[in-house]
Amino acid sequence: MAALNPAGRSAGLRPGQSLAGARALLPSLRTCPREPEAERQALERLCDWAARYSPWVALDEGPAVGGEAGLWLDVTGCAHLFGGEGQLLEDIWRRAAALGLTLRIGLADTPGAAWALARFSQSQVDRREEAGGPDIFRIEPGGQRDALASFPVAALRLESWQEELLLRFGLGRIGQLYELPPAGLEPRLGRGVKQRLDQALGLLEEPLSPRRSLAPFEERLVFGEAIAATEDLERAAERLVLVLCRRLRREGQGLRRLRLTAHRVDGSCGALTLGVSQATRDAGHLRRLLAPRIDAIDPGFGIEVMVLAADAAEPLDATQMSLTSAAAAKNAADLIDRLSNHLGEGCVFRLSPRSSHWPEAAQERRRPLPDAPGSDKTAAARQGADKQDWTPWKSRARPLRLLHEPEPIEALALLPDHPPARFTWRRQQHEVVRAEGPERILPEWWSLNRSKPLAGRDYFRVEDRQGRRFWLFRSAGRWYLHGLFG
Amino acid sequence: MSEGGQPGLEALRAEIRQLEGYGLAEGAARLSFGLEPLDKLLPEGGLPLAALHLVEPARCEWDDGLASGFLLALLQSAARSSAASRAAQAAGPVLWVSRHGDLYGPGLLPFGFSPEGFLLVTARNDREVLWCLEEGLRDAAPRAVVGELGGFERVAARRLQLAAEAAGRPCFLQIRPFARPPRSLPGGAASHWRIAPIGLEGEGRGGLPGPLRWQAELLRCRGGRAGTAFLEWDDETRDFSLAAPLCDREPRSLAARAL
Repeated sequence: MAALNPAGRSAGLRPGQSLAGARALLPSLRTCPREPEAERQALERLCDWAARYSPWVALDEGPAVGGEAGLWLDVTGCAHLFGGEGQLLEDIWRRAAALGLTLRIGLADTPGAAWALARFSQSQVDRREEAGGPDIFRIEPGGQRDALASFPVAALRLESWQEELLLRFGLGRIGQLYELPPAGLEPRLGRGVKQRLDQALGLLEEPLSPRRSLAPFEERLVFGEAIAATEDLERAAERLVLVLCRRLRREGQGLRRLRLTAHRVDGSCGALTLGVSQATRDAGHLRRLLAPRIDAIDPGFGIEVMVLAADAAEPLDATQMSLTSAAAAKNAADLIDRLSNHLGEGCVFRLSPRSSHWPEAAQERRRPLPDAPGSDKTAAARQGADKQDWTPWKSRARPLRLLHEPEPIEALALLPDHPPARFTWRRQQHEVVRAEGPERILPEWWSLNRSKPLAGRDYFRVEDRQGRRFWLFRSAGRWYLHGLFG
Repeated sequence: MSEGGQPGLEALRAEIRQLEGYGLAEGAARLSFGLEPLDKLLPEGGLPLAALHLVEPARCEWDDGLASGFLLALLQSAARSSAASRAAQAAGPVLWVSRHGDLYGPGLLPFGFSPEGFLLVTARNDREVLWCLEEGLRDAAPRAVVGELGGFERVAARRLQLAAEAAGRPCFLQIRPFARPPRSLPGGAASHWRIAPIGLEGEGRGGLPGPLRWQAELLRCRGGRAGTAFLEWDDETRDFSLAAPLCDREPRSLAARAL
């Protein structure tokens, strides 16, 4: 048995009991199989939900006492947005209750103390603010040592064997560990206990890794009343963009990716991301990019919190800014951003040459704007090493349109190594009157990694009776059409 | 009616052209081919550049390459004619919006373009193509916009024409249907070309394929006349010339061949 509801607990059942034993105690017990995956997903959804309070949210991966799941929230510097820590905690509790969740919240200076507080407070010295109110427990700053002294050692997030050993030593309370010399504990229990203790007391830093990578810049807007109208959303997004850009300017940074997250009343989130081809902090530009996409956010029953985050940022000088408008006009950064955010990434590109004779490999699509200098050294170096130009192709006849795949054609050649006399492509017969070739192109055995080796191709440039020009090739005795000339 | 005798008439015509738009206003950039048989078809001896031009292959699929070739040749001539006056703008990219995405970089070289100067966009449907073209015309960066699409409505053509006029830059459309060829194309463009190949006469064969050649039929031209020109492209000078053996051919033989 993994988890119990209050009724089950009051009937004397406990987690970890076998099902048979539980049924013996309580015949009317109703059970359903545990779904760890679904649980985890639900927890992750909750994690996203909790991001409304702080960008720093992590799943509690430690030993789950009693099967209860936990979330960490680092609310440093966030509380004032909700009117203080007390209000913040109550807000969390109230909203979670509305979602049908029973929360126990602990707030302390250290994650360890908060963890202990949330799980073990009830039977201990209660710091409940009012009887019958929400299960919110707080330790005043610096008060962990006194507060935790009476807690059982299990509150230190120990492994079960460590806990068992401590109990066997007669060390049941955390306070009893304070006086013990660390040299006495370590050989028997390993470093774990001492480390947990120090972490809980704040003598040792405990880093939490947030579930989502932290955005370097983030702005949030909390609405007193949920909003749903598109105009309101637009206005809110506009304001967030302004604030974010102001902050970016102060820090000398420009953003490359922008993520807008809207937290709905029912606890779900809607998000949209957009990318820009060049680091920017031009509020007008970002607003123009955002405005047509804001519809994509379904407000549901209303949106309570909006978070705008710059997922990727890179240094952008003030001097560079003054040039940007001229440069942007030249390299069409604005246009590229608008098009690629509308059509999707990868739909806007430029062609750049590759040093390959193989027709399909002679060009590649690359991002329409080069990376900012110094932002990605390896890419720049790679580009430098690969620096190619189109001159090798100037002397060769290449078609204007290259079919994505060579299309098989029925062709008739009078002699081997001769161009075909006539061929049929797409139900139309063409009589060849002029031809140039063959140009033999061999596959690149060193770079094309394919299961079946490609055969070499003999290319011909042919002109039919009507004057149309085609690029044909023969490969392994079969004819293909590969391109059309201008 | 003799024009010499009525000096007010010319001024009136100019005013009408000004009102009509289509890049025909006084002082607007023109593309003059320098070829008499072609230039005489065009309004005032030049194709207005700040306008919408439509290029249609005579036979879809088979002549797609041909039509694109002609379009690129037009684009190159336009770039050259405007390069002197607006050097800064000519440095911008050409926005090429396509649904096929089969433009081959090395094939652009004979037309005097570097493939890097093209900003290519793959759109999913005609509506997106039109949207991209309009965005492109509204933006200051591209020196010209080119779109490939299956067909369009008169309203769309009008919108693009107005956008091109406002931008002072050309917009080219190539018809490349995905499913079936369009029945008829609406007006609204400043010029409408149908491009067909020029074949070898008679039963002869042999030799190498020569320079690129097109039979360019001007179906509609605002302020100009319809007509046909046989054109050839010179890779070296990057200029149009008349296809030599055919330029003096009788229209009768042409008609006979078409049948």
